[in-house]
Amino acid sequence: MRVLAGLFLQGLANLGRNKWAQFFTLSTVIFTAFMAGLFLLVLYNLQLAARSTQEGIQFQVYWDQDKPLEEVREQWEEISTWDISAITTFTPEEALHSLADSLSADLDMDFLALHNPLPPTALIEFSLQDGHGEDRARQVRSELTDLPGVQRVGFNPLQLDLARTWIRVSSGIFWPLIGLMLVITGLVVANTLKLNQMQRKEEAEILALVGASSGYIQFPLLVSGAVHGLAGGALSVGLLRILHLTVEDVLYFPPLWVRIEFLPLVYILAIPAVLTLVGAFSSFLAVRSRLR
Amino acid sequence: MIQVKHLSHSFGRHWVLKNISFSLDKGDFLFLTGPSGAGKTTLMRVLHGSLALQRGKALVAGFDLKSLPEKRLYQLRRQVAIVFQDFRILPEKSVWDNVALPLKVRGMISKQVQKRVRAVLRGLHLDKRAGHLCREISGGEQQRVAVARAVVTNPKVLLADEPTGNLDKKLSMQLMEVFRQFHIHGTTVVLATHSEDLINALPGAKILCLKDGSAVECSWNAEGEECAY
Repeated sequence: MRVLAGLFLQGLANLGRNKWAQFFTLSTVIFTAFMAGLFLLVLYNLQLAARSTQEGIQFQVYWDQDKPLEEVREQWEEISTWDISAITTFTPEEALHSLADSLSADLDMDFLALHNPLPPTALIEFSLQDGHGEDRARQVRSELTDLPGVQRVGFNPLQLDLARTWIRVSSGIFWPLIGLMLVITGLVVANTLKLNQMQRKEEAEILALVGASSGYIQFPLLVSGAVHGLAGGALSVGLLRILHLTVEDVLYFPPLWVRIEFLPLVYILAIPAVLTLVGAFSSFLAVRSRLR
Repeated sequence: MIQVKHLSHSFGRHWVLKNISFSLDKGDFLFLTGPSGAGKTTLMRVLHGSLALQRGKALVAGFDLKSLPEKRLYQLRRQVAIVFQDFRILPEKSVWDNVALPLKVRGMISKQVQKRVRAVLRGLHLDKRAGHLCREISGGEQQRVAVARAVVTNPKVLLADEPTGNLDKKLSMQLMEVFRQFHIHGTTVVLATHSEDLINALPGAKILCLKDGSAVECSWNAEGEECAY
């Protein structure tokens, strides 16, 4: 146990030797993992978008302009009690601001405030039930149309077909792409760490010559490789999170209203975990041929 | 302690050792001599397990090299120490660390390591250089570090490949005395050398001459200055 602890500490101490080589190795691991994470983030969000479009459907409801806003608000309250996923409402003023924001930051539309041509609107999202999607869509649309003061209910029938296509593409292309990306990342990281450990091949050879067991030689390398993988993976997730916080709301504007989601916890943990294993394994193999 | 029968070794199609046989008991001293390229270093490396045994039989310190798996090589090397011609020491580590290395890999406690390293360094006149990095010391001193590292574990078998190649006559003789002391105390020593002085320093030692990979009879010229093969 004492020997094992000593070898573990030696593995950590090895990270302090040849600092520039360690720095470049860690940088390569971080940026390779970051690119893989970014790819994963994009695919994950595309998948989410496709899934939400497939499982959910949206109706854009327009009220008469002369309908008193208080009554419209009461109807919004009522609709929100229905079995729906979400309701996003816009008073004419809010719709005007949103329109102005989406056109140009400098655009001043205050002159329209007194004679606002926009009606109260609501974007209603709900899930389609298994096997009864079209019936449910028809029923909700009918209920919305029957509400007093509702002028028009917008619905895009192509939405469903498009979503189904996305799902087909995601299962046919996205997952193989993720697999390929993982393989490439694994190979680049493994090779980088292996090359880094190769600089210690002479020491490994000499240790073998003076009677060190392969475990004695390889365990510290395994520790430093694992630490490289863990640190690189964790830092790449950190960088990814910073990037995500920066671009989270980039697509959150009409008509997209897409908020970019961060990777789920299992993915976040998987990145450093996989890199730790890759680091340990590649370092373990690095000097194996030198032990005779 | 060492039994070699019909040992042959090739690199590709070139046979560098051909049908070598010899036997050494505990405490024997063997001079391995012959011209450059005769196969001395290859024989040393085979006996140390650095090269796999290809043909023949070799029993070293109780280990059958034919059947010894690679993962158990370290057990052989804990009984059989070697001094390489090119030293094979770690230049970025101190003299002390290099000499202590074989003891540390055996898990020896620090107090014992200190005691043994100190004694060996003193015996080889390296005690004043203990703290220096190996890259900072002379070739001769590096050679003595390599010898110190080999003898510090008190091995059953000591293989030394041209251990005095970088030393003057005085230091060579001092080093020879170190090998002789180990030999007297029961270590089996195999020493590859061109130096007739070394060979003459230990009358009664066995001599194996190699030429083109084969064992040949040694003969000396009339002046006794040069070895003729």
